[in-house]
Amino acid sequence: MTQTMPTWTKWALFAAGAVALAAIPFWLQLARPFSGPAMVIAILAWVAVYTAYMFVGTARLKGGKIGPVMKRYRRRLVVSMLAYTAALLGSLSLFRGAHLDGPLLWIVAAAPAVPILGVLLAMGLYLKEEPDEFERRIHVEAMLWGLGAVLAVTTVWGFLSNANVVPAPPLFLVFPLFCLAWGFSQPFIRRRYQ
Amino acid sequence: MKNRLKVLRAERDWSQADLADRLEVSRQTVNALETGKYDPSLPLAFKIARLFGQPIEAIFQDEA
Repeated sequence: MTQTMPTWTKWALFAAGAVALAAIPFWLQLARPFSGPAMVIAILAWVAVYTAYMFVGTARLKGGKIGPVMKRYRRRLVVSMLAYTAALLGSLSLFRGAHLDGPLLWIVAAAPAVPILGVLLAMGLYLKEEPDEFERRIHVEAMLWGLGAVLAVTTVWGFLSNANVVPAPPLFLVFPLFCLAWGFSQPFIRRRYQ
Repeated sequence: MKNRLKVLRAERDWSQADLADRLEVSRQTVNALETGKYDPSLPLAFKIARLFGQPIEAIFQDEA
């Protein structure tokens, strides 16, 4: 058998690719190369590509061995992300199409957040269900890095915006920031245990 | 913590993957255990001890 132990370098390359892919929606949002239905198709295509990258990539890094609990987590994640995409696109088109107020405005505005809470739940359940204590430890450490990144960035940003140096922080981006730091810290954490 | 996992595994001619399957953990976990970078919990240590038919202190050595 060849030495197929995934090295931290492979994890780092994989994480770098994930970060690059994760930057695309922000670029779409800022540069707006498409509009209308083309934008919707672009976002859906991105979701498909990103999901495939994450699934195939981690399966290869794990030598094709994905435990049943991780599989369950992935299933929950895909369902949540599909629901999120649908809720976000639906919410945006409702905002564009009609003038909303009252409770309906609250519901439409908060709708995309609900599947994200689902992702949070899936993460919690994964930690609770993962039978491999070492894997669990890696993820707990990585989540602490995620928490640290979020606290550091939002604290600095918060004080800057208090002084009106920068605009108020976009709070909905706190969760993606947590996920990015969680994912990106993993290769470094894994390296320490090799 | 130092341990004799690698020796015990070699005596049985098991690969890291074989041991991982028997312990129901990933191969990365076995690797981290063997290099002594990760100390197992008591339940996992007992599982390892049972698998090799030896007491825990015969497998793991306290360096203190």
